[in-house]
Amino acid sequence: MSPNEEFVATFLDELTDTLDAWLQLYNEVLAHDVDVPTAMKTMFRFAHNLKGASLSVELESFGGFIHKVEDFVTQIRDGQRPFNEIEQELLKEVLETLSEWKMNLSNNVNSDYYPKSLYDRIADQIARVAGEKPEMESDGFVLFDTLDEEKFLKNGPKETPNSPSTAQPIAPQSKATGTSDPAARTGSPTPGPSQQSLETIRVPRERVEEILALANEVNYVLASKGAAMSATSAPLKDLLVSVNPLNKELQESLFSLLLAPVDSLFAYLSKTAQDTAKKTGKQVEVFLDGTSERLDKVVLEKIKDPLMHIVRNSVDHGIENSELRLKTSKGAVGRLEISAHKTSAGLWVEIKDDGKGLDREKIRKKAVEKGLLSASAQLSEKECFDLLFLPGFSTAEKITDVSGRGVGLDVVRSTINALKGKVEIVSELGRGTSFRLFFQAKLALVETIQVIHQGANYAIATSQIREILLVKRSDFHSHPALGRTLNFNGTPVSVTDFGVAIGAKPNPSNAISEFCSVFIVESRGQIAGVAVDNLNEHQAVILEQLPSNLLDLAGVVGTTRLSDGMPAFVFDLVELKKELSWTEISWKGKAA
Amino acid sequence: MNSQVEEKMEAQYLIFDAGGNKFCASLEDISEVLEVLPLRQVPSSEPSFLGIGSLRGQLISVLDLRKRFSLPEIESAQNVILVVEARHGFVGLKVDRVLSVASRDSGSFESNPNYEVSVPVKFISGVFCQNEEFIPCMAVKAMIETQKWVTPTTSDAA
Repeated sequence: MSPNEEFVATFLDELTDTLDAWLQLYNEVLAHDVDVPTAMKTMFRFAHNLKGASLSVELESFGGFIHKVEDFVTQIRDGQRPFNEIEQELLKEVLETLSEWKMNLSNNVNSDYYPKSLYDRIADQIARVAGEKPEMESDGFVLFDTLDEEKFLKNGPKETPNSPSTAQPIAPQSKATGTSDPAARTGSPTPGPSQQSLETIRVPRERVEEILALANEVNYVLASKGAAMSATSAPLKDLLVSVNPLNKELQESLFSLLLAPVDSLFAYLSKTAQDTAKKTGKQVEVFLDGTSERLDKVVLEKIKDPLMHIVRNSVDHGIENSELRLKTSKGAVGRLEISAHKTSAGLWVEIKDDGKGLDREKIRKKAVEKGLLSASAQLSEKECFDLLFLPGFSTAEKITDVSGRGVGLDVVRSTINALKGKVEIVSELGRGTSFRLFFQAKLALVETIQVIHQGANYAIATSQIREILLVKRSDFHSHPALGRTLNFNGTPVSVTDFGVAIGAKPNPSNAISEFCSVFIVESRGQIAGVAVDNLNEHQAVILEQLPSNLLDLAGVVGTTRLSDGMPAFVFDLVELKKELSWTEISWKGKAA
Repeated sequence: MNSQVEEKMEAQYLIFDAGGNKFCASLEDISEVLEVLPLRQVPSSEPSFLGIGSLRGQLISVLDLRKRFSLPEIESAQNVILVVEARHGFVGLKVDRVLSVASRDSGSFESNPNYEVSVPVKFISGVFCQNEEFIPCMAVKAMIETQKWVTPTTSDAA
């Protein structure tokens, strides 16, 4: 009987979460961040929950395998066996096997299988300690033979999906699978004694998105209709003042349900780097930064493979072996930095090595050889590195076991593009290479001020705005060498016209008003001014992702729907780094 | 020639005017035809990129097909937007007007044209001959894929 696809989808979610946590724990225990008995206790729970979950979707062979793992972990937990290299290696293999199996399962819901050789080795190890013969049968064993029914009874809501006190979507369907369902066998609606105090429910993502869409709609109605009506009604205005922040909080809480921190992904990448280093006989130290930044869970899952690929590449082809590094006075141990950096538009993830860097001339030659480039073509640095993303392009001189088969970077880019993200390479020959990936925030609520400039509507994010000043145009200081400046608390701030900064075509029919508003933007100790014609209302808007054809618009972080029903661009003035003239804030101090 | 028979059964062309010239496009490439909709201008964009609008809440980027190929822009109430579902989202192509839909059977199709037309030959997938009239068939998806949308301002965004 083949397991129901919907169950498996739920199961896969759980498997994904559990594996991430498990892997992280595994890394922690190896790094001595957590003591072995505590870690094993948690690992036991992971294994146990997975076993229960796999049985509920009738993946019985798999359940049998994980049951063995559970026994193995129990022995370590209870001090019957140490946690030495054999144990570490076996558990690592288990994690790898589970990850692989998860992939297969997500492609084919019927792939119930168990890894026989690993099972045998684990069973053998268990038998050595327990002093009993491994009870292995090579095929068709049924897990229930080896299951302790009491464990299910003790084990809280996870294994009692038909209990009325839990809201798992799996509940009504699992009843239909009949009495072979372990959940049905528990029969107890009351949670067991070992139940954890945190009760979790599983809700399909779409459901959260639906509720979020409703909250967004409320926001839109409040902003478009409410704002206009409240202009004539004081009580209505009061009401809006109290409702707006509540709705904003509601939106933000819903957003956050769909996000997860990058920490477990980064831990996984770190392990990938170390594994690759081991295989290629190199020494690498990995530094992680920004691990608490969060990304959409779906995106996190999808970028795992591309990032792993980049990490492997960096260690295999970027970082040199110790001998070579010492010759170039770099220090024997290579450095790999994996970091996340959040902006209002989304998240940058950077993977940076201090290896040998990319040789532009070599890339160029290769591209000409492959007929991808004419011999006389002039390339910018960016254009040159972009060649690496072409299908079948690989500059590695030798193909290694780990990477360099010429598949990869093109797949990396297509995956990133499909997620509406971008990827770029910065590299200096001899100094190292950095891969920078950008993922647009799929869901973001941004505080904005709507402005009208030369007759067009825009929204400007307020997060980095220090002040907004109303300035009489004739009050600007104008000097041929300094341009248009404004005295801001004693600092001369250079003011750029918003239209000029974003490259909008001037609208000659637009009358220039006597006054304008100047946004004072602050970024990294510098300030700049941006002048706009008119301010409109202040509003928190839902940032929608830019389609990939618009990703390169200067200063634009997304679009949103304004009250006229049309989409409008949302700008973050800080992103207009090169279009504005920046002044050090400390200027005043120097002058004094 | 089995494959040709199959093609014949499926192929239909949307015939339209752009800049006073007749063109056609494979009906498969056009998901719908819209009236001209209000658009928000895009700063620092290519001249033929008219702006972005909302197609039932989804973003649509609208190009003027006439401007794109330097054809005369004939503004009238009959102007329409042909909607194409491109890789990166909806794209609208503004044209003079839609004339008709023709099945391939009602004429013949020459897929290796050697005609001089106002549109670069790489965007012409063939010529549809109907009633002794030669109508170039525009490869709209290929055209959109290679479209430049945004003109970089003074610098690259870092």
